Amino acid sequence: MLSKLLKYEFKATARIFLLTYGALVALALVNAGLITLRTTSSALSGSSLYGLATTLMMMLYGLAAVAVVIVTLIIILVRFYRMLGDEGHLWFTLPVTATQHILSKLIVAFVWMIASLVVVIASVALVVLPTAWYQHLGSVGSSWNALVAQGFNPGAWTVVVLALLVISLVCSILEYYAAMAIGPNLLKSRLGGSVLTYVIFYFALELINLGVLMVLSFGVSGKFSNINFAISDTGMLSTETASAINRLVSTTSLTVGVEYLVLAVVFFCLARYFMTRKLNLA
Amino acid sequence: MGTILQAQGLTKRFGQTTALDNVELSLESGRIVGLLGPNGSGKTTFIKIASGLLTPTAGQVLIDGVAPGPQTKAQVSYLPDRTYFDNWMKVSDCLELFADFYQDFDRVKANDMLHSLGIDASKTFKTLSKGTQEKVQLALVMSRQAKLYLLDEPIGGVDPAARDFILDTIIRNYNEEGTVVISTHLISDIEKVLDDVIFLWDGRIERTDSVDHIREQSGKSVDEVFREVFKC
Amino acid sequence: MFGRQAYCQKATLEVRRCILKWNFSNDHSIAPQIVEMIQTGILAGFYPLGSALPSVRALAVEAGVNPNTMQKALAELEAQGLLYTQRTSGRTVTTDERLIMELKERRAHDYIRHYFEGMQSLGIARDRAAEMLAASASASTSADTSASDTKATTTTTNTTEVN
Repeated sequence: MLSKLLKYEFKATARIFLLTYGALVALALVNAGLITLRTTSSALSGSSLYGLATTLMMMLYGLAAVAVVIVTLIIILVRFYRMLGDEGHLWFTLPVTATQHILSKLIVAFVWMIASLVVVIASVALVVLPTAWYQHLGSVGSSWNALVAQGFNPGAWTVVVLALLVISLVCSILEYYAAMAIGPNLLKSRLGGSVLTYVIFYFALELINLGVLMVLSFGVSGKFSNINFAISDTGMLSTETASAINRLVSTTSLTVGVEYLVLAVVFFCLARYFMTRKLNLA
Repeated sequence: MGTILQAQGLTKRFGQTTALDNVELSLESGRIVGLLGPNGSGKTTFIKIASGLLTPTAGQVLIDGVAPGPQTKAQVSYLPDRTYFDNWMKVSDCLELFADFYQDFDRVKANDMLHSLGIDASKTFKTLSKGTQEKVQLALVMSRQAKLYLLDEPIGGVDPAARDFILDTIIRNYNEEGTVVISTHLISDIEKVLDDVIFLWDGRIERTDSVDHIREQSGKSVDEVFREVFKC
Repeated sequence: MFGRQAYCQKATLEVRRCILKWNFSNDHSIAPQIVEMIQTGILAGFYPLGSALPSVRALAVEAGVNPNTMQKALAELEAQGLLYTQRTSGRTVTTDERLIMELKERRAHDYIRHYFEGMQSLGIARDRAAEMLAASASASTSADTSASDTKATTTTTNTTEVN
């Protein structure tokens, strides 16, 4: 059942996303082209009109890049919102559980959000292509090795950062979903209730984050007093400092990760509860 | 044969308004039942609860002994009083969806019905007239071999030819294991098709009886009896 | 051949151009109305003796009624002996000509009774009504229809009896 839901969700969203991404990539290429032309042609590089055109194009591209991310988010929200509206008369009479509905929307939303980020980054890479940044990729390797020599683990850090990114993304999507599921029960207006619920979540989250931060700082105070950024003759930090930094990073990331994981589960359960026990489709 | 639907103390409140008030009901399988009542009497609310789109404030409804959920939804075929397909979906996509999610969907029958209606399956829902949209939905809903069909106001606001098609389809697809519940406030048009009727007024059941019994007892049509019962 | 109209007390059956029109009255149970209509159909030859009847479902669709109701009606007709069920091929009209004759007799007497009841409600006495009936019968068989019509009308104007 879940795979079928995924199929329909992708089919319904693919066209618009691919169009948007295509437009952004096209704009990026146009910009890259304009820049390349300017560097290769002295006649154009002097022209102020050309300069104006390229600047405008760059601004347009910048706006488009931001727009892509915002539009992705809006589409994701609208899909879930509409599922709880008239379309719900179809979806909620299918022999499918609320969990499957939430998961199908979540997975597709996640995929498109990641896709939009990837597309934006790729388009940036395209735009600055004329600067031949790819020639400097080698320096990344040497920086990596330097970190390893210091006693750090960049591989693990990358994994941790990505994991945190994923968890926080999932958590924020589920926060929206839960707000939309609870909304109709709060106010007469479904939209108003959903917005209100989201605002309440926002402030509640601020408090929770504050609390976690306080616990974290309390927990780590004193434990990292021996962090000494003095660099020895070999040009490296002391091993105690390195391991202290490692512990700091792992403690913080673990705490934040667990916080978002717990929140994600809470939001998921809230959404599911309000879509089964408290479902009230107009 | 058996009881396909049972409502026990079913109550639904929306804020201050009570849409259903302590409804007790039992429907047998293989019957065509009319849920009759004026607008706002709770017909749609009752059907939506049985379909699993609304949750009761109190009491419960059981479909074949089970509360509404994915299991009952596989056995209940629901026709809403509005269109529920995404406008950009093609008729063939809607068919595909039903075939994908419902085990009891008869694709051949659905295609035949659409064909006899002269509906082009490659057209998007948006391009169809409202009447045609309703017919497509009806064709899909009735092409399922369900235990319970819940049709919410299928003939309201529909031209006589479409009405005939709807009643025709209902009769044609009747099967002994399936119960059809038709909610409407237009009684004289469908009396001939009904086995039993339920009079709903202000969220309460005023009367349940078989059509034959009402006619024999009162010497009047159900429509006339209904008007008498609900005369304000 | 099918230009006649058969009148029943509760339902109207129009056998016209080989299309059976089902007209039901909503005041009474449908099953008995169906029984009477199909009886008329059989007696009028619309459903020939020994022929197969359409399926319950097909008849229900044609008549626009609940299949349960149609089933009840057909069961009743079977009980009356007008239909019988063959194992695999559904319901067939009887070939019992004696039964048909009996039924026709009974129907004929019903029509006669209706005629006399109708005439009585007009205040025309029974034997007077019988006379008019005989006159009308001979008039419609004679070649000169108009002449017999005037003869009939002059006879009725002389009637003074009231009952």
